[in-house]
Amino acid sequence: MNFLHILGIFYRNVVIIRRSVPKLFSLFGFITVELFLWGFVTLWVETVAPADGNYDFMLLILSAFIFWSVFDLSQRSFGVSFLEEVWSRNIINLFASPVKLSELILGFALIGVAQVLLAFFYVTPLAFLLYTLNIWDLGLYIIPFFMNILVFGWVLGVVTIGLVVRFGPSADILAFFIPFLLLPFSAVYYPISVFPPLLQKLTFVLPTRHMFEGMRIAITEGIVPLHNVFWASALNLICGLLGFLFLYWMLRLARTKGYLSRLVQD
Amino acid sequence: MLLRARRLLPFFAPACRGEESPLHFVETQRDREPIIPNLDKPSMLRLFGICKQTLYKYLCCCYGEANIVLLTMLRKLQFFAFSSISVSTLMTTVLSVRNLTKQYNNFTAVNRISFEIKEGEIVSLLGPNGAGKTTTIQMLLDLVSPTSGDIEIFGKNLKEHREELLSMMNFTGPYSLLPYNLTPKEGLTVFALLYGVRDYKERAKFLLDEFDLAGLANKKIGQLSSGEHMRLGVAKAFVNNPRLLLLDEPTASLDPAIAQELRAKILKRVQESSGAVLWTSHNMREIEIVSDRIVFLSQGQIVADATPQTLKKRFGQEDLEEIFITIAKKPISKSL
Repeated sequence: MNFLHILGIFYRNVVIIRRSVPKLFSLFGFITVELFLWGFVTLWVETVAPADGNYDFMLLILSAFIFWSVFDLSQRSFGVSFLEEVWSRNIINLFASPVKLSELILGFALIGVAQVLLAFFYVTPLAFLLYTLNIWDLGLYIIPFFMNILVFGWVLGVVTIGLVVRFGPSADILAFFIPFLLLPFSAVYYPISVFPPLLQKLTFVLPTRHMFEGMRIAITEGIVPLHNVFWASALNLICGLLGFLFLYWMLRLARTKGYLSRLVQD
Repeated sequence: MLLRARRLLPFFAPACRGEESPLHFVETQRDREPIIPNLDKPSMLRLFGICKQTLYKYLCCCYGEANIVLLTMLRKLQFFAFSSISVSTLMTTVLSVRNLTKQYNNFTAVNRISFEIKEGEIVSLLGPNGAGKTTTIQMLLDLVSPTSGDIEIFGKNLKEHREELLSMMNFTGPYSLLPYNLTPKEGLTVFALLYGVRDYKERAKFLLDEFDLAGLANKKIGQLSSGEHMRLGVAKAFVNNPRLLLLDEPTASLDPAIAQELRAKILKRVQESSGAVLWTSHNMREIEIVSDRIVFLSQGQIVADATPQTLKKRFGQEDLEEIFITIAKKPISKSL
């Protein structure tokens, strides 16, 4: 593992983000707009369904929104960092350099963490200012869920890269679309009990379901549901391994079929 | 100066075995033995390295740096001397390609090609469009996996020592643009890091000065002219002081004056680093100036592998471009 290689990938992305207004907007702008949206929705829900003591809608819905944003940003920053190399036709230079696949993934993960932390430490005070929501009230319960959300974002980022390598730059829409596909089945804003029985069984394989369900239990009951932490972590590990193998397989296929050079031609 | 050098040759001449011309195919010199007694191979190489560097520095003092005529003359002189005294057998084989084949379904892009490049050698890879030059270069960079055959760089298999070998190589080509949203300074810094160069800031600054890009250091790459972009691409190719350099049409789309200037800079850097170069171009004059040897590809096969002089002699033509057209049009079976 060469630290300079990872630093190179990190530095390259920092320079781009720092300089680009649209990228800064995608980092801070979307999350601000969505915070307003979900804040107003929650205010309305509170008026029609007054809190009965068990349900603090503001905490439940807005914390779910913030953590979903963490997941979304984690996946998107990972995928877009790779797509940036494709869009700027630099991808051949990157793959012809001595950077290992693991270093590439670590570099993207590092830039993902930096973006997620920036967005998180921006949106939590903003949520407090606008809706007096103090996410830190959740205490240390959220740490295992936060970590799992972050890691699963990377896993989907790795899968996104694999798909772009296989299907070319036209598959870039997947970088933005994949998390959206999981949103209805991850029990982000509602408990899994609202799913039909079959869907409850099918969604068991989704780490996000266990993360958000566990977090909701932590908020409402004040305990850390260990079985949710366990399943979220175990499924994350399996998905991570499969994601890495998928990317490795796609890259191998790309080298055999000549897809890598096609990435700059499409 | 060449004559003076030739006069020195008899001193080494007894070592020369066989009747071949010094400018004969390089492959025929493989079997020659080291010839200066009491000197092992590394010592011999060091001795020649010192001689070459001293001569280069002396000539630079006399005639100024980056003089294309001077550099070309020096390269020819060096190759002539090395060939005459069989030192090419002592020079390390930088790249060895054996029976390299790339097949896409029913189409064979590269068909069982074999060639070598020795230390300090500039070999041109020529061929008409679609001959397999770029596929060959992409296989050498591990961007494309060969269907069969071996690639060895410094005696190590590329697949097995990918990262180690890629850190000793670099390339530039028309299909690999540098990131348009960085400045040349940032771009070179990023690539210095990606190639594991420890003093990456100093290296980027040095290359900006060396390739006359200092004035453009903070301009976005996307705003550079094609000539400036090309120069930056070549500067990037030297970011890690590569020992094997792959240059895919490094002066394409440049006007003759800028192309000549860039060629001189490339030759100067190559001369200083003793690197080996694989160079492709459609500019036959350029090929003649820079090449020690030409490997000619047609329909994915090597149809000629010789020095420019040998090719001219064989075809009875003075113009390399005419030879190119002749070979390109010739069916494979009738080629050299």
